[in-house]
Amino acid sequence: MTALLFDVLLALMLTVLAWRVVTTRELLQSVVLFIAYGLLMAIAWTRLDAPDIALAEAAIGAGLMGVLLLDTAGELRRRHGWRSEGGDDDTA
Amino acid sequence: MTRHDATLRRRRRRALLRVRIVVAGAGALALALLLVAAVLELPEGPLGLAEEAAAQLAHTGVDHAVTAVLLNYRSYDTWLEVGVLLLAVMAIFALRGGAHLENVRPAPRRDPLLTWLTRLLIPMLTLTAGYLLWLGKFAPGGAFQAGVVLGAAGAMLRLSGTPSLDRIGDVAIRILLAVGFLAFLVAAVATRLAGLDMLELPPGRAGDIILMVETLATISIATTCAVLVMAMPGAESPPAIAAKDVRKEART
Amino acid sequence: MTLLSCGYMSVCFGVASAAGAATPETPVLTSHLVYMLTACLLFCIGLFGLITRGHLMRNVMSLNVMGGGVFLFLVAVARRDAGESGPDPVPHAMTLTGIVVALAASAFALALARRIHSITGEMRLEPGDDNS
Repeated sequence: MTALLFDVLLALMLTVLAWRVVTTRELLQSVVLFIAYGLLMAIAWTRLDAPDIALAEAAIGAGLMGVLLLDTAGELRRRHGWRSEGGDDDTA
Repeated sequence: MTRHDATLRRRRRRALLRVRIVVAGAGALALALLLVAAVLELPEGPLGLAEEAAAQLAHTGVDHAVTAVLLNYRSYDTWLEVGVLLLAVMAIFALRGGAHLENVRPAPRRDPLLTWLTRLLIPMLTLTAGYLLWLGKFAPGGAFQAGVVLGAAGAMLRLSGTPSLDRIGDVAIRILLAVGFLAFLVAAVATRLAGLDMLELPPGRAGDIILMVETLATISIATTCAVLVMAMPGAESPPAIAAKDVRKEART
Repeated sequence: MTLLSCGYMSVCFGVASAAGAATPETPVLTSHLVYMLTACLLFCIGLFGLITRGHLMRNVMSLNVMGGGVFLFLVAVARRDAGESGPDPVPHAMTLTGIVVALAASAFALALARRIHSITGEMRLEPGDDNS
């Protein structure tokens, strides 16, 4: 029962994080939430008896993907300043 | 007059956007319901190849089923996936206009804390990667995990401003990138020449062949991951950006 | 948070029992079912984001959220059908390579987006979309 509760909690957090990644206005916040999503996904893999995938996901979701996204976000900020980053989401 | 037009246009765009959100939301919700219904209707019982994979495990040369699938049962898939990684790097090089990494933008100022952390973590990450690679024979681990960890180490070197892959020259980089794909290619040709099916590993030597191919694939995957981070296009063409920024300023 | 998770759980129970009404045997809410349903939701959330957001980085992240849903579903099915020799290794291997390939594809997509940005000055495909 405790394990099931944990699974439900994890599933709920994954869903909420995915929703926030997609709908948050601030780009940088979205990136950070996405990194958190990757880390929680790694926990989900271990819960599903897939330690191989959990190992890769921990390195990719938290490490490489985060570096790529944060670097791109930083590049945008370097070119435009915060102004366009906050305003880029007017269309959504 | 023009200001009125602009307001009108903006209002119309907002309305269109709202329509788009509502339609997309309704569509996604409907799809979610359909998918949930489909999941609940899934046929019972074992659907996969778990038993088949376990039955032949003794002949694969490794004791871990996932590694066996990756490098023995379905090594053709893995070969092509290593090829996809190579293609992604080639595409990024094409965007940059070359495989040389010397002109990546100057790394950030060196930070004593970051330097200390790098000194501490890089050996540990390298050790972890080697351990994971060796572990793949009988436990969760293997080429992809090890390659990704090593690639993360490369990304960290880049972030801390330590010279690494960007100093070894483009020929060396190309070799490191291609070596995993070539290892699979050599294995495929060798098995054909030996009269076997393509990538059909003889049970006696499968373990050694897999370890060899896996090691080379790890090197390629690690280099790929590190180069993906290092070779992001952008800041190395400042004149064009400056000109465009001026244009943008003039427009607004 | 606990309240929310209780709500989520009851929704899952409701869905499972609704399905049980159709099938003869009594439904059990198992953890792999939770993950399978979550996978569907993640896929649709990612799809929603992909359609509604114009920003290219958002599109990359939405695609990754969608991909996470697909991978989660594959592995959850493998977990459901686990025999005495453990879960099916084939979906695991597919997901493992899939994650690495998704990383490479995302990196390429980001590189293209940055290129677009350095040429047009906008991080989106339709020019003028951000004038509003």
